[in-house]
Amino acid sequence: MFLKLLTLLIRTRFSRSYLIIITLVFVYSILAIWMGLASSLFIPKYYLGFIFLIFLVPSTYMGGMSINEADRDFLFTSAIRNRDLIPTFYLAQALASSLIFLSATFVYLLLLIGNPLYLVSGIISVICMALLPISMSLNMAGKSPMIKIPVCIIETLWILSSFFGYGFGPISFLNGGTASLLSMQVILAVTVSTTAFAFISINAESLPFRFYSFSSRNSNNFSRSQTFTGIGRNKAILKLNFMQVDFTSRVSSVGNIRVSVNRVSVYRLFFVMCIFAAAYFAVSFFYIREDGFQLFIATSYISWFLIMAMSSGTLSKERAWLSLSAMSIESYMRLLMISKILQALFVSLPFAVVSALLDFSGILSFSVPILFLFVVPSFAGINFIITLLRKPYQVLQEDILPSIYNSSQFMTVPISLFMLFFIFLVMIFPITFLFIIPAALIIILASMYNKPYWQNSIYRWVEMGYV
Amino acid sequence: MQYFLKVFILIMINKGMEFTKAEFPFQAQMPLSFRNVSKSYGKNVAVKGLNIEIKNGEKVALLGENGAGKSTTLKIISGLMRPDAGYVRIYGQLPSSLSAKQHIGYLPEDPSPYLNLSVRENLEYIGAIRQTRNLETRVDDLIYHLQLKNYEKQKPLSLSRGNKQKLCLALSIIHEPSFCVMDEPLNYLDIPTQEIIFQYFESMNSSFIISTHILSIARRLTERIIIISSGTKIWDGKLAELEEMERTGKSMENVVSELMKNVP
Repeated sequence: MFLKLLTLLIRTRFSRSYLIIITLVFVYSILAIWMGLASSLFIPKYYLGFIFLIFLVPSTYMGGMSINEADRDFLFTSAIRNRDLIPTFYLAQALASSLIFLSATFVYLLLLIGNPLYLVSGIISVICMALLPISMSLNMAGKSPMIKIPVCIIETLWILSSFFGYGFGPISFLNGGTASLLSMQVILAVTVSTTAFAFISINAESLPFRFYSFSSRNSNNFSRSQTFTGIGRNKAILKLNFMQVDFTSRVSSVGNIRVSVNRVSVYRLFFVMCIFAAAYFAVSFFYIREDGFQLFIATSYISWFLIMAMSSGTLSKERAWLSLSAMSIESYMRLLMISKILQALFVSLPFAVVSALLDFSGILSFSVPILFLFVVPSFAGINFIITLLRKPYQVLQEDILPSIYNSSQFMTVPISLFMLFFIFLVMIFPITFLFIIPAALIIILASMYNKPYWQNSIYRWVEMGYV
Repeated sequence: MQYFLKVFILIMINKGMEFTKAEFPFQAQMPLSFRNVSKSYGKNVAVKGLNIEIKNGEKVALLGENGAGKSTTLKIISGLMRPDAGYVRIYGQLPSSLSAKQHIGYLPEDPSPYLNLSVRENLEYIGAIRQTRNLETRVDDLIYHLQLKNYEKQKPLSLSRGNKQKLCLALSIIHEPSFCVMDEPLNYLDIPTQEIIFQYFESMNSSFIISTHILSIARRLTERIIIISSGTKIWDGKLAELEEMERTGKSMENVVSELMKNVP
């Protein structure tokens, strides 16, 4: 039964392109190292820490497994025992997200290749890091936020501890020495115990339904009430699309478990960014002026804005029939792109201001964040254009965990590679800013007024089932 | 002079050639001219040489089995899809043109409103995009007539499927369209609500093309029926003609079913 189910899941969920994507991610990770990061163990440590963080914490907070309506209606109502059903889902999930994680991170083990003992501990650690998010998500299915939030905080502190010289942190294996073995033992113990707990809970009859009930909950939609009376068409579109940030498909771009539409108010996001920026300023100004801290902030900052810029390609399904049948396609798309660019610009502001203040105060801060004020929105626009060449990221079943793994989910990977390249270029050679931004603006403006481009894109989406 | 020139070009070159302006005065009065339209998805032919003309104020039902090409036809009419071949005009204009879109009220088969906006916000937003006059009054009117008053501050996710469908219907007609293009508009609606919708549609002075596979809905809402199968028109006539055939002792369902089976 287990093998039959596994075959079914693989057949119905994984496309051939998925393997190609894994290869691409592997190439991406090699290039990330190659782009000046492999010279020491320092950067990989932060990079790996960040990747692990974005796999583990969202998995823990979201909980559950990739289960869709068909699973609920036909698989869960079949006479299959949980002990057959859930391990199959676990394995399918491991194929979905762990392989991506492994392909993205295994390259770091090259750094340990000189010492077989460290290498083995590194391999075990990375495999544990790939599996732990799945076990945690299984354990946290249906749990209240009061339990999940403290667990997420503990996980974050655990990961961060690697950067402060503690040997038991999950990334400390890269340090070599006794820390490498201690780190491996800790993560192995944590993964084994978490997985054991997860498999004990498999016998609970309600578990599959807890997965589903959680996965089908309402989106975290922002609830600011708005009025659109008395304003013109363009202002209405800009107002809605500027204020609403669609957090869709982003986690899927790194192979994580959940894709749902979480619409967040841009003001709320701005407020959160202000808090982070203020905290960064306070810590840099009063406490830590070390390169390590600045580099950690820089990595997180770049990664965050990479996600922010790439999110511009996210459009929710429900807009198409209403907006596109109400006005000219090119005007709507133009306004949508402008609002996405403005959104990226607005959210970039707090860190840019704080970094400028730190620079003026003569305190070390990470490079050229003000330039990012232009780079990030420009790439938000370009990403919007590029993603529409194929299809915008789309959630076919609103608020359902996606269970199909195909190439379009991972479109962000090659695009992010290009973006990373240009961002590093601007960081290392600020003068390139003078060429990159005008080039980006020319591309954006040329596309903006390219009527056939938008029309053809929309017609293609409609044929692909977008409306 | 310009008129004769256009007629000449149309005759001499190709009847499928596209003009952005209305070609003929009589066409400008017609909600829909749909001639020799074909559309394929790869190797699958969805619509094949289909012809439909709808006159002002006419209410037409598009019947057909699953996969007959009904939804594709409506998407082409609403300007969301481009045909591979053929000639489509809405009041003499290209379906993708702004003036055609101002006339059309389109409702797809499985519509979804903006999930993060409340019922009222949805109506206000689309009303603003549609540049609806007296928007506030129009929103109040729709909320009242479609009995959405108790839900106006709720988000669509908390609505029942039927109420969500009512909201989508309201969104598609907020600008008081003169030509309604609707794909299964009464899906998910209970019988009393269907009655409300029937009455509301009857009160509208608009032309309709409604896709359905439920004969009773076609009977109630429209006066002319077009049956399509495999993307081709197999029957086009007045409802009364079908009713005439029904008198031969067969039910209307049987009559329609036989028509669908007898595809050449």
